[in-house]
Amino acid sequence: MRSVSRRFGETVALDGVDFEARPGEIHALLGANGAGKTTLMRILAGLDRPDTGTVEVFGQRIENFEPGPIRALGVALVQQHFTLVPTLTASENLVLARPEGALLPPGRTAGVRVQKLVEQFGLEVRDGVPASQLSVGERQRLEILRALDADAKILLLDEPTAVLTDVEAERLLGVARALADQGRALVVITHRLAEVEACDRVTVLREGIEAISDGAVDGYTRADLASAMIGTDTSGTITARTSRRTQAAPVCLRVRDVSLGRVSSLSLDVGEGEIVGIAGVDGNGQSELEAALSGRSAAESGEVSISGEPIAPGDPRSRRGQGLAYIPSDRYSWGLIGPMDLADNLELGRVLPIRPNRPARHKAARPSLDHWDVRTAGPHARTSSLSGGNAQKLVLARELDEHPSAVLACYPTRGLDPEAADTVATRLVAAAEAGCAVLWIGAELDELLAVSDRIEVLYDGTLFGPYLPPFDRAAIGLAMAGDAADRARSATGGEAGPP
Amino acid sequence: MDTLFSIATVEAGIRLGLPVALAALGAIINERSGVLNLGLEGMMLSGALGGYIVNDATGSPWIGLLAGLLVGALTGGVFAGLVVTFRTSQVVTGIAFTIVAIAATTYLFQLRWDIGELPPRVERLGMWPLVALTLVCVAGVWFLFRRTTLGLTISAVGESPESADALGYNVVLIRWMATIAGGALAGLGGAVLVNGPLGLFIEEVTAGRGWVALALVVFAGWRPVPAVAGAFLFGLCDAAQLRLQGTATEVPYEVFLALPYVVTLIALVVRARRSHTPAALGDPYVRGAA
Repeated sequence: MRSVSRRFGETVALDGVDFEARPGEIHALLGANGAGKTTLMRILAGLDRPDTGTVEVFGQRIENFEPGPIRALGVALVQQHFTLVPTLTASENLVLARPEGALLPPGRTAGVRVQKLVEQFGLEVRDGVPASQLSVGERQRLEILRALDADAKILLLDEPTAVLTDVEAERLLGVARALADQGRALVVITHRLAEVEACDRVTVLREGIEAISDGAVDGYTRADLASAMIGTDTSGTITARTSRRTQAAPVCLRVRDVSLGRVSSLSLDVGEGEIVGIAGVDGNGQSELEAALSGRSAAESGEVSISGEPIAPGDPRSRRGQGLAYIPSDRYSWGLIGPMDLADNLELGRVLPIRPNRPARHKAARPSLDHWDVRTAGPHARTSSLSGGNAQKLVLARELDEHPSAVLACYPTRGLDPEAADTVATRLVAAAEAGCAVLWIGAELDELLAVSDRIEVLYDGTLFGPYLPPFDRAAIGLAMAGDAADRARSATGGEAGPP
Repeated sequence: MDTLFSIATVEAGIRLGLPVALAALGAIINERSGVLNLGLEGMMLSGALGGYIVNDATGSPWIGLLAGLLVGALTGGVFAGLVVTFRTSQVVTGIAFTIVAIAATTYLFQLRWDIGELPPRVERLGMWPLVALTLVCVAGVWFLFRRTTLGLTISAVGESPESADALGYNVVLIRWMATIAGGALAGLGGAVLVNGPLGLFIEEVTAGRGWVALALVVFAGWRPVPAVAGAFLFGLCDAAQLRLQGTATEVPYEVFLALPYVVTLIALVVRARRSHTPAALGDPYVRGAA
């Protein structure tokens, strides 16, 4: 792939990226969220097209970016979201991918085909049950078998280990090595350093640009890779706080042994007036943590309390009553109702049974909109007409106006322009300085470095830290890529992984 | 009551069940590909009028059936253009399609035969050729989904269009084909109704049989054989109510008129809870918009 670029509206996903995969090698594609890894692979698989640049497969230039012809050249992409048909069994999924004529083979023949593949590549898959009933690991193995069944010469694996247990992940990397030894080219997308070390070559993407281009894995230390991934540019868009809290404050938000999905037995305290930043790559338990703390899902176990008062699991309303403000990661799913006007959205969660008439409601909304600098045509405007920044300010206006005692802010600056991001951050800092406990879950390290009193790194459902100011950027970067977890594991001698 | 439990009632039931069975088969092909076809009633009606006019003009009910099939395929093509290519809402488009079809068939019918003028009775086909035709269609649809790659592909497109797309199948083309095939079978069903048991066309002659067929598809879990069985259950009730209307009872005849629909509804409630709906039913497909 030569100088491939791709934009989505305003965002530049890829900016002139070169990429090469060679037979017999495993090429790691490393990068943080939104670095462009998945876009690059989707283009190579024909599921997306580049705006500029060229793609060649075995010397043949691709003109027609369609999945069919590119598959026929021997390129197979195993996506993060699996593309098995959930109602079909293993053998039916294989037949769908590579039919043997117009008639379906009889059940036994199809089963033999699965069995042969399973034996040939050592990837265990049950046949005869719908794919939706297979475990995640099995589904992934089936995806890989399906690619191998089509005799894929170039196998692209998009974060293959993200959903696997440690043992399964290790096995998968072993299989990848065996496939490379057979002369196939493999590309493994990952954000884990331990996996890069199992590969031959590495390319690191950061914000659509190569930070390391096609280097030999042996030539880099973990620290090199981590800093290439998160960048060394410390001039973030967010104004750094001038003072940080150093003394311990009374605990306001207390999380004890909370488990939900990927998050296991997580404990955390946030003091009054403190901003605690949760750093980490998406998919390490952030969404579960958000769901459990906001009350959207009941935690499987554990307890959350605000100002010493425990709150019932899975009850968003009682949380609000006890002074938890919630800035959701997805504004339009959980924060705002797009088709309703601004005044109505400001009132959500505290609507009176009998409401004042519309002009009165609009009048009441105005001071709040002005104070929070929501730039709009007025309180009557449809909320979906707002830009991302103004929509987020509207959420802040509703959530912070009531002087909450704790704030759960999930990716509060995601998708905002620099100015709006800075405003949002400033307001949250102001809330903390007024005595509010702020838990800030973020993906961008720079902004967390700029605002936090303390940073914890969420990796694979577990917190690593604390990291205190002045922050050691490199150390946090390594922890985000799993280095701290690897160390902790080898220190306890737990090579075998979970039972 | 003797007339109720007779061979004649059963035969009438089979005759009245055939059009519903064919329409249900069409809907199965449609919906397995992920296209919800609420225009089924309209397609049946269009096929019925087409079949009637051509039979009247040529004097051959077989050519009438063919005309119904073609008219149905045409309406299926129009519907596919709207919902698959232009991605309009399948629910709204389907209902609008049926309403337009009711109005259009009434209008065209009145252009040809004035109000008050008695439309001619056309030559009718006997029961057995139509039964044979329907059985061939059932077997065909069964074979399509159980034994052919094409059927597997249609199901895959209806369950998980993104997967089918990633494997290189043309989702839009497959949905077009399925919608046209479904329309053709619905049109054939309509033509069977006028060229078989009735032998004439009147306004809204299908009388909601298309909707019944849609309900039966849910009841049958999108499988052809149970759908056809359900269609004959509906036909039997229809035949029974016709006979009950003729007997002098205290019960108002409207109750009997409603009987087949009530039975369908009950069957639906009893069965539909564990039915398996194609996951992408009703969703237009846009690549990359997950």
